[in-house]
Amino acid sequence: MLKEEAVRLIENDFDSRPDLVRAGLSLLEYLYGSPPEVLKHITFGSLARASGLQSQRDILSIAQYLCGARLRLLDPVWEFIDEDEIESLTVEDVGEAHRTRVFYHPRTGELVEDFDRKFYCFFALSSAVHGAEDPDGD
Amino acid sequence: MPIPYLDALRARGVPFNAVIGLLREHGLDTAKGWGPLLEKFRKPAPSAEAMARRKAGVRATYLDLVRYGDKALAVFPIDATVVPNLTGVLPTINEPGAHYLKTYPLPLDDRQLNPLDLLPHAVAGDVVGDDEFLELCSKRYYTVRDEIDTADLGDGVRKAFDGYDSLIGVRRGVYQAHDFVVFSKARSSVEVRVDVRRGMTGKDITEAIGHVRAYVNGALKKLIGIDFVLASRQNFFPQIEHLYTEDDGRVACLGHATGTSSIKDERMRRRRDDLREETFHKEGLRALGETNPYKIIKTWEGEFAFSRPGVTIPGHFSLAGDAAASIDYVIIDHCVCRNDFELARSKLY
Repeated sequence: MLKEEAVRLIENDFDSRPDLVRAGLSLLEYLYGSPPEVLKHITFGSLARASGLQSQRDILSIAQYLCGARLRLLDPVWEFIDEDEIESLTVEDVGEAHRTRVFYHPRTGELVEDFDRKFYCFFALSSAVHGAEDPDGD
Repeated sequence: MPIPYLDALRARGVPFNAVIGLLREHGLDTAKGWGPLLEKFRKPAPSAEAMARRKAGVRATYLDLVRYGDKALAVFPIDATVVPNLTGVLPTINEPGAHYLKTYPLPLDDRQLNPLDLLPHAVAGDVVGDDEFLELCSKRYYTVRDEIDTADLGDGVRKAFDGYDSLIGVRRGVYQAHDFVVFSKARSSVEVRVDVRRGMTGKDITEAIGHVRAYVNGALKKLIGIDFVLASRQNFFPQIEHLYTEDDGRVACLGHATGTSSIKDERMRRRRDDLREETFHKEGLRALGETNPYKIIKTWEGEFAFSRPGVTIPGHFSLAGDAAASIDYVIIDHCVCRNDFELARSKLY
């Protein structure tokens, strides 16, 4: 997606919140201006620094917006982290776990009682930004 | 029946995705966890033929994961003059009275296993391709860390731990290990491949290798009259640099000490990603020109999409830059079949 189009969408969709417009435009500078290889693991902390936002709610709102169909610049990425183990999860895995309240440890196959504490979300640059190749390809 | 084999795999702590992947390859049911998987396999099969296929597939899955699952590998080069004496001998070593034969290839239950000592005992011999195998079983310990729910404790004890966010209990787990001794005439070597699992320390692994080595040396002394056939071990420390510079596979982790006085333990979030392509690592190395590696984890594509064989050379930062450094075993893991294991081994020697 062209950056100019993204600017237009943000200015239009957040017109009642000038602070979010500023934050959104700062994020666009970050996402379009950084090399793609440093945007494979974007944390909430990175989004806060890049946007200048301090409110957790506002950061979440902007992140959700940038993951949405209207302006897909970010892909949500989920991980299950248990001590030093990291296992990738799909959005469907996470949805099913929250819906059924049942989650099995990917490595041990055993039930995990308090899985919510071990699910972590971050973001990756969407391919829509630069037409980036799928980083998972072997 | 399939259930004892599945129970045994669960007790071994075998990676669940490996079990599921192999069951799927055999055309059998899978599930997201052990609970639902065992439920499915407890239900009767729709036909006698389906039941036979189920039994064969589960048994084959069990045997493959026992033989080629996570192992520590020590390599003993064999003198050329000894090779002819050793040929055909290992698979003949046996102990007809060994306790483990009562249930082999399945493990003993806890009641049968607990009173036994930690020494290995021969249970089976085999020839696979050019390799001659001896399989040994033994009781082995590993460390288990459990989070303790303070709600289960008495008032006095709970009060003593006020202010703590969590309480971790450490205990010793016990399981039946399956170790393999493999003589390769082509490579003039005997490999000792000991079972490893989470919770085993370097000391546990070294002790296990020592027990197997002593057993084999004792048996070979009796059979072929040669002392200490398994003498010195291959040093894998020089292989760290070799694995890093060979451009196949993916380097998932590198431990190294820099000339700028830092100790780095860099790893990728996923085993299939390559640290050598990661910007922070590349730029750092470019800035310094060189570094002193002491540990590496490297992985390759396996036989199946779900397997990713890996080699870990597990050094400590104290070895970095030491010309005389020695690491006498490696870990080969995430293998599910002979081809996976052979692939990983072939990268080492």
